[in-house]
Amino acid sequence: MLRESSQTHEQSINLNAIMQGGDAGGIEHATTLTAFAEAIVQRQPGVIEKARNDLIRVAGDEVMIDTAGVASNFERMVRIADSTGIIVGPLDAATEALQQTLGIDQFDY
Amino acid sequence: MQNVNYDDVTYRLRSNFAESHTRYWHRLQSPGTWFNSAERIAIAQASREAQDCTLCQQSKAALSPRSLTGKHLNTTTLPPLVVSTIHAIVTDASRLTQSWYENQLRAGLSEGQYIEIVGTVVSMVSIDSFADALGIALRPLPAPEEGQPSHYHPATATITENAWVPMVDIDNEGTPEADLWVSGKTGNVVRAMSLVPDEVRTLKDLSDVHYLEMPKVKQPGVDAGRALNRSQMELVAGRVSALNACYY
Repeated sequence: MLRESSQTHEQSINLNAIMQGGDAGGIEHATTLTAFAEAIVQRQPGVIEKARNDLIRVAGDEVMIDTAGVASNFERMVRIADSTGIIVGPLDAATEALQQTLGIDQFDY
Repeated sequence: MQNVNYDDVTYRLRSNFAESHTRYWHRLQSPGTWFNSAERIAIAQASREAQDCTLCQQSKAALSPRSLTGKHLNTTTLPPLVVSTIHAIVTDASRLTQSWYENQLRAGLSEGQYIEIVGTVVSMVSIDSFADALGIALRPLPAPEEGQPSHYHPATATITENAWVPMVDIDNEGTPEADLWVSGKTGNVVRAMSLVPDEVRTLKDLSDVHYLEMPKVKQPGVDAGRALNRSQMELVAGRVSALNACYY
């Protein structure tokens, strides 16, 4: 979805940021966004507070709140997928190749 | 009925967060499909306690999942089987397997009970991690209400090669589950909890507010009219999924 949304928005991005964190290229505030998302997953209050304040400083509190919303949504979605054993379904060739390139295929079904 | 409010939040918070979380609180304190209100609230409490469970922390660090023995942190009256199921989903979901799931069934959980546990746990994880992200206290759980579970079983729910769990047929037109998705058009992650249809209704309600309305999810060029554009949303979503080692 990130690849396709960035193509729609004509953004040049580094998809490796999904697996490795850091700079995603042409996405505004990418490094600060992912730092906040990482802090939410790691659940360390001091780290969350710093990342939250950093994001507010560069992007404002509405961006911080929406990032909290999306991150907490995917804390749910991953657990649904993992606890019900759903399969992804048929992939097109481009998506399959991308999974291998990024290393997503290392995760178990 | 108990409402959720975020009056203590100093940021400009969209009102629909409190509204959708309140709708979930009302559902949580009502009888469910397989559990009564008190049991549902206990499941919610146990999902919170899992985050601080020493046995779970040690198990997550162990090479083999769930290989350690011991007692889970638990202040509820839920049976150990239910508690261990909740804790596994909260703390080590990426290492769950079909054989583990089938063991939980053999030990006494029904498929419907399992899905209602999953639905309750994931809703709580989402609402609580939102509070953690904002640096505010977890919202107080509601008080239980009277009533018995419905034991509703969707007629078209069966096990297929798409999941370990039974799911409602993707072609749901003309069934009581027709509101869950547009017939023939949805992903397995939406269908996953359809054995308990109210869990899918909650999923949609919370996702609409936290992320995107379901019809927009598969339209990558569509923004939600939020402070984050779509690429920023997908970057955050992808990073959270990767950190959770989720293939999906």
